[in-house]
Amino acid sequence: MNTSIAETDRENSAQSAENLHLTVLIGSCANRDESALVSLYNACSPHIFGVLKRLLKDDALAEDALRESFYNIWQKSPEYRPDKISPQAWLTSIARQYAIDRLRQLTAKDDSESYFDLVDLDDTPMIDFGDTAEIEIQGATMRCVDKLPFTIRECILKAYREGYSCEELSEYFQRPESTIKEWLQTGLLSLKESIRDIDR
Amino acid sequence: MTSTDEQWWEVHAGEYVLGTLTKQDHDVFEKISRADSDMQDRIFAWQESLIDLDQDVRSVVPPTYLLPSLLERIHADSEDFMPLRDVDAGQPSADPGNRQPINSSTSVANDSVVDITPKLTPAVQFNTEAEPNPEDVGNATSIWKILAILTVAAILLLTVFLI
Repeated sequence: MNTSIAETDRENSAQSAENLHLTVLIGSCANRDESALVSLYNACSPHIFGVLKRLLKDDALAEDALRESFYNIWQKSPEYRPDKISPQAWLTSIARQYAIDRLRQLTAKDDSESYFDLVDLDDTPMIDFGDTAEIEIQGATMRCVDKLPFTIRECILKAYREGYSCEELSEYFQRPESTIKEWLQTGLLSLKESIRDIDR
Repeated sequence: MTSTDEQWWEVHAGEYVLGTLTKQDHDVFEKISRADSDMQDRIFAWQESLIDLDQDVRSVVPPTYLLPSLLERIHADSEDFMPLRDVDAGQPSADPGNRQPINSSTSVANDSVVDITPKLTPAVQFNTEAEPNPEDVGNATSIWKILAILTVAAILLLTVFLI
């Protein structure tokens, strides 16, 4: 038991040190220090690139999105509030936002078919869903999502991880958009309550 | 704010982060969040919570050419500011041919000292070092003269009154 607490403390301490390091780098970017941007890129780009590849399902699009995301990070660095959000969440959110906007642009160009119909879903070797046991032992939010009814869980995960819009979810689940909205909203509310319970 | 209102804002902030709002709703929500710090906090909270869903993603080292391309993009921005300094000094604009290619992070760090710092300074320098307008100086002198005459007149009146 004591060993477990000590391990948790060590993990928390390592996490805090990493947060501090990234926060300092973002602060240096705000002061237009390019070497800080290079360090930030070297530290965070593999994870963010993984997130972008999963969202965009295309190497060229993901590479373009990674460059634009870090450009946005550089531009927005003076706005970063370390008291409000962790550096990892802030960095990933900027990248996700860019990727979602890009996906919506691509689908808007051709309303006749979903962007996801154009992509060969089998051709996404970088995404590893194989080890579900590993997923189950992950963070608190994922545990809360796992407790949601299957369709709501899938709806939230497809939207977050793969960038499905409400319309695309409606096509995927063969349900009206109003039903999808209801699922999403029920899921999000239930998720918020579960997260609050954990925080208490 | 009622509980129903709370829930409505909470759910929509969550949808904003998920990316499932329509473009129109997304844009409206973005404007609200810029003006309303409570809404911004809700969005931050959702971003912080949902990032957990990305923990299973496999990290992928991006191709090496992406970093130089990112830095070139940033340099292209900083070059927009360069002509201001060059014109001020009576020098021709920066010659792109003189820019060294970026091959390593070390050369980038050296570049940053030269290329990035100046872009923050020209506008400020122009304002602080500008010559004062002679007309403005003349106007200010006239005002001081009138004030001095009025003050002397007031003192004289006060002296006469006291006597």
